[in-house]
Amino acid sequence: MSNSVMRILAVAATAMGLAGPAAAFEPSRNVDMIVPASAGGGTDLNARTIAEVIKSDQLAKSSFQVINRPGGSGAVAFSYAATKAGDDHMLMPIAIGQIISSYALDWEVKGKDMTPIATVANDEFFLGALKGRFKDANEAIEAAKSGKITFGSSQKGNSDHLAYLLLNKHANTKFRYVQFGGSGEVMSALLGKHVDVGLFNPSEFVGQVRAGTVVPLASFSTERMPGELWKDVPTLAELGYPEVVAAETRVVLGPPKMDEAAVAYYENLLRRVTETDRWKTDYVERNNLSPMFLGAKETQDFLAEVIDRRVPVFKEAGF
Amino acid sequence: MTEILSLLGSGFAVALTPTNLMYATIGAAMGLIVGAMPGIGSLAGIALLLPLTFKLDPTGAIIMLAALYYANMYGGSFSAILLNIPGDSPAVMTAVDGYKLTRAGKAGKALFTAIVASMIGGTIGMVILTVMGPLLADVGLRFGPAEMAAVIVLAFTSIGWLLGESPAKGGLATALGLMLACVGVDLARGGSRFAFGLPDLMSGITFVPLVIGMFGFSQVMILMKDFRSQGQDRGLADVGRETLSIRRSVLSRQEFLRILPTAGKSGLLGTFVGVLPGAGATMAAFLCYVLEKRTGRDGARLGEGVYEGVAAPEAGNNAAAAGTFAPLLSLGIPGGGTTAVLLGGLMMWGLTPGPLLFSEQPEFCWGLIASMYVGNIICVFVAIAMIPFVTNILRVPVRIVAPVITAVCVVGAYSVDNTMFDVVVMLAAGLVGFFLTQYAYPTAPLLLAFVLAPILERSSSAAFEISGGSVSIFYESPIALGFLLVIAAICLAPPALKAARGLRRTKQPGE
Repeated sequence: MSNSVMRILAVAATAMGLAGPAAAFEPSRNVDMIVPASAGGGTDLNARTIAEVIKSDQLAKSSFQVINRPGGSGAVAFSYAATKAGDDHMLMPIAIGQIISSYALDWEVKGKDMTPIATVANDEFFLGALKGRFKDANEAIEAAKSGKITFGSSQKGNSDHLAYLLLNKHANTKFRYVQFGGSGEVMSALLGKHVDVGLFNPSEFVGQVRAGTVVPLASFSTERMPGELWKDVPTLAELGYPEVVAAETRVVLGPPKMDEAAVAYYENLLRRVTETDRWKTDYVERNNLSPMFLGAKETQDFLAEVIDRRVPVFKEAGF
Repeated sequence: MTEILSLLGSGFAVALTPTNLMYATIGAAMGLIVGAMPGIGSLAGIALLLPLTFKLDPTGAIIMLAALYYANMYGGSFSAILLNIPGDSPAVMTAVDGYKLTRAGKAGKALFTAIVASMIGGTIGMVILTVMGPLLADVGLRFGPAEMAAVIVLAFTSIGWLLGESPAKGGLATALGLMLACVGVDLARGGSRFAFGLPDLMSGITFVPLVIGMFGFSQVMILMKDFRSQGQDRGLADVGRETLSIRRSVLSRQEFLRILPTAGKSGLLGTFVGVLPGAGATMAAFLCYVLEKRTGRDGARLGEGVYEGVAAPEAGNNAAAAGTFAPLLSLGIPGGGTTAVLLGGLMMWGLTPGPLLFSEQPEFCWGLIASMYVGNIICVFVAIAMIPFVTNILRVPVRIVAPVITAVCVVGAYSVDNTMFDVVVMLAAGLVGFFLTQYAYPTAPLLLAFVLAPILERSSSAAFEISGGSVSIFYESPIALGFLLVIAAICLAPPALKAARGLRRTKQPGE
């Protein structure tokens, strides 16, 4: 083999090497969507909607199959993902609360070990109370300084709990945390006057708000939520507590060490999913979510902000 | 009342359209199948079917899903009675007497009892739902954490009646159930306890694999042991040469009259339990069984394989399934996991569950309620038609049926959460269950403690969180105080009566 041939081969090899990252990644087999929760919950619905939209709008050639891996409020799925490091055919749609839990509850595998791909929707948090119980959020916050006002919520070491801790810390309140088995039980307790305020996602109490039995006092978001029912509800930031920000943000992660080209592919795919009409009306609107999209890099920064700036409040509170 | 009747009438007009009738039938058939398969409960069944219904109109869709939900309560009893494997957790208590009836060659009648009792219980639940749904939901709201804790303590007190011949053995089984229930989430801190660093144990031991192991897999081992010692290969039960026809399964007038009061009582209690926040059909079935054991005419024989033992839990769980619709429809509050998924469905179809649902969507609400009457009748016919087919399994020789049940146990345990860990749990539970049964330790108290303990822990800790650690919350609430007084009366009455009788007896000779 002559020298020149070698040189040409070398050039060709380099060129191919350079072209490598540009050569778009395409899944070569079925993509597993690992849901870290049982069938029927919010995360499961999110995953199934993504898979459904990809299929019905033909956004990808390979098929996306939803697999539920519940257990340990997400720890089981995280441990499983750690064994799949570098697998480019696995996605994990997740609620940010589970990423928070991985730190607050100190799981072996934590949120930052995963590869961030995209943020696809936001489920806001509201503070709700029975109509007539408090005039507005300020009155509730003042009353809570006595330490006698109870705050119903459904999980510890999660985003609900984070919202509670941030409120108590920055508004100087002493709300009493009361834990229930789910948001339905919180609503029962609120309606039955067993607790004073409760933390709800819009979909969890929109029926009561429309009927006027329960009043949304304030939201934990950065901006007011649009819509007739919500536009007059102030954010806690507006009321003077800019650090009290929390929501059940819906994120899609990949296993640790996912290839960059694959991340770019899925990021683009999920962007297209969130741009479809079906996603906007059938999923976001109907479930009273807020539209939101962040790419891989922005999701990484966003998660880092939550983990580094907000999660330490668990330790401060002695949790 | 006339208004309710006319609204219900318009509901029947909706429910009896051919399309909606078809949806109810499809839902009922699927519910029976899903219910009969161990491991796949109504929750998973509805969650999987839900995405397929988005294109249907909401009324048709919920008619189908609701049918799947209550038909599930019928289906769960099939495998419980025939194979001692409860198809769904509310059928656990059905297996206790149901399987004993099967071994005694009365499988057909046991199944028929389950179906008829389910129908009676379900209908009672629906009548109550129709007449006083919103009122009932309001009663449910009065049960806060303190009141729920008192109810559960009452249920725990009643475990004593399930203990069987040896109270010591029953007590040990109860304690074992409590210990197993402690594994998993530490409610006070949100972290895990007794998980030994295993992620799979972090949210606790799953109920379904435990039940499948304790009942089903241990049964396989017992079958194999008997098979070896007897050395002859027979079917599960001595069904004789005759075919098990529907006619031979129909209860006699006398038998029917025996289960009628049982089913009625259980229907009332079950509906009420279904309305309570966080209770559910499994607890309803347990409590109805206990009630029958305590107050039934033949209560003492429950557990030996009597029809009342099948009728009580079956009527109870169907009534509870109807009861959970009261808070769901009138307040938009799900009573349990399955109704939470249905609630998600309502929103996907563009409806807003809440206090306004009845006034804004009367056609939808009354159509659903009416369809539940219709659906229950459909369930009865479909289920009865299945009796001769399913009872054929009893003819299959043990050497064939044992490996098949084993496979069903493994698949059932695996399919709950798609994890092999649950299969290990099932096998271990089977081994434990085998030895418990061999040494005459009752397994029902173990499972009852396992189901009740987490609800007790959750509600009592929430009660203390509300009161800031003071016990006053338990006696300041009239409902909680009432339950606690009943508990005191239950505990103190028998010894007091005994003492009084003793006194009289010692006096008599002196007179």
